[in-house]
Amino acid sequence: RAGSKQAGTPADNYHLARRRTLQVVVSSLLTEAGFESAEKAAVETLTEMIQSYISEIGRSAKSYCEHTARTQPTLSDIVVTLVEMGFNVETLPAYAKRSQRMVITAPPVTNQPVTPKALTAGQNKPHPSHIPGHFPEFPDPHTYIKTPTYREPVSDYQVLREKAASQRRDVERALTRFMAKTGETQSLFKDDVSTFPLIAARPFTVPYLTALLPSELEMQQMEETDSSEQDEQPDTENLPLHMGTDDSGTEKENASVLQQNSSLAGSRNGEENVIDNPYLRPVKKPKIRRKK
Amino acid sequence: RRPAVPVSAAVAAPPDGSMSNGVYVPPAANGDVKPVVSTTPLVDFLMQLEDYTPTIPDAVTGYYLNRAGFEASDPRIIRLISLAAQKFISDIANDALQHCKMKGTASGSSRSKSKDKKYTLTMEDLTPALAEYGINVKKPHYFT
Repeated sequence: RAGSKQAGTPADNYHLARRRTLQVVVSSLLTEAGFESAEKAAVETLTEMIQSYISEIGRSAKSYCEHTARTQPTLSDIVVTLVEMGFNVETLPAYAKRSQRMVITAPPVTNQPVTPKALTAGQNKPHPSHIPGHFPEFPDPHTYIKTPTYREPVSDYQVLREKAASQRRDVERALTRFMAKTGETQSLFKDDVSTFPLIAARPFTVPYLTALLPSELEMQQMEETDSSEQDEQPDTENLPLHMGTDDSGTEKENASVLQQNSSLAGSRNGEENVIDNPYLRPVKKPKIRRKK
Repeated sequence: RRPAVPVSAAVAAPPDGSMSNGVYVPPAANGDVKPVVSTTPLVDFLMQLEDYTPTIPDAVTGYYLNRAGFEASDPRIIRLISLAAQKFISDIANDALQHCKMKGTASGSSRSKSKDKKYTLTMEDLTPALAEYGINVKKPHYFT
């Protein structure tokens, strides 16, 4: 057993404290013998010797005791051990009564660190029957049980409507700002260009052409309204006016396509094979109608 | 068979031979054999041991005995062992003191000035004292 310095664990400190006590004992014995001072190496040697002497007595006495099929060592075991180690037992009582005895105080006993009550949470699970009682307890249940908590989503109608409305407003604003930043802009004020940009209007060379030619979308709608009901038509006319601030053809077409998704989905309720995605529908060629 | 004296160690009485205070004495051929080790004085001594507290605290001795596997039922046993260990060390210390005194007065210093009382235990004194016990200690040579 080495007497090296080990820092840290309570067991090491325990061991170290007792070794220091032995050193004090050895020093007191030397003082009793008449020495005033001693070399450090000599004291260490004697300390090591006394420690191994005690351990050897313990081990040997235990062996003798077990040799006779007992478990509790008795006086006879120790006597035999001492004799075996070359110790003259009969001089022991005389030694005990010597005059200059000194008593050393025992090292302090430190309790095992207990987890403070404030940190424990919940009841520890009790030991199942196959685990002996002296084993440590189970850890706190929060270390191995996870209960995810869900906050109930807000289902208040008013709050939801407000949220939806503000979200839509934000989306519109973001989109128009994006168009203004990436495309051409016209400004309301002469000096200030960046404050209130308007998306620039792109005038067509033949402005009335789009009014005369029916777009693809309108052609399809005209065909469908022939066969189905006419509920969705006012919706599709109003919604393009709602979008944007200009007459840009591409944007209007995109917007109309977006609205046609929702309207067509509603209009085809009665039909069996419903294809919602306009890009998957078979191509319909426009019927050229000659108007007079 | 002599009646056995009650002792702390209860030993079963052998069928033949004599019991002397807990130590089994085989029937001697020449009749002159006396038990070398008898526990009588120690049994009495053990009772008195409660008055004398050995220098080594019981907790420390008990700690080292437990490490060796020795679980003491009687605290007086622990005191006995600590006394034995103490005596062991003080015997060595006395021998070392003799060596120290011998070296001091070997050169023939005057007796009027009694040898200065300051004895220092050094490894040079301890080594021959331990050698008599069969323990050889060698100090390492320090390289400078």
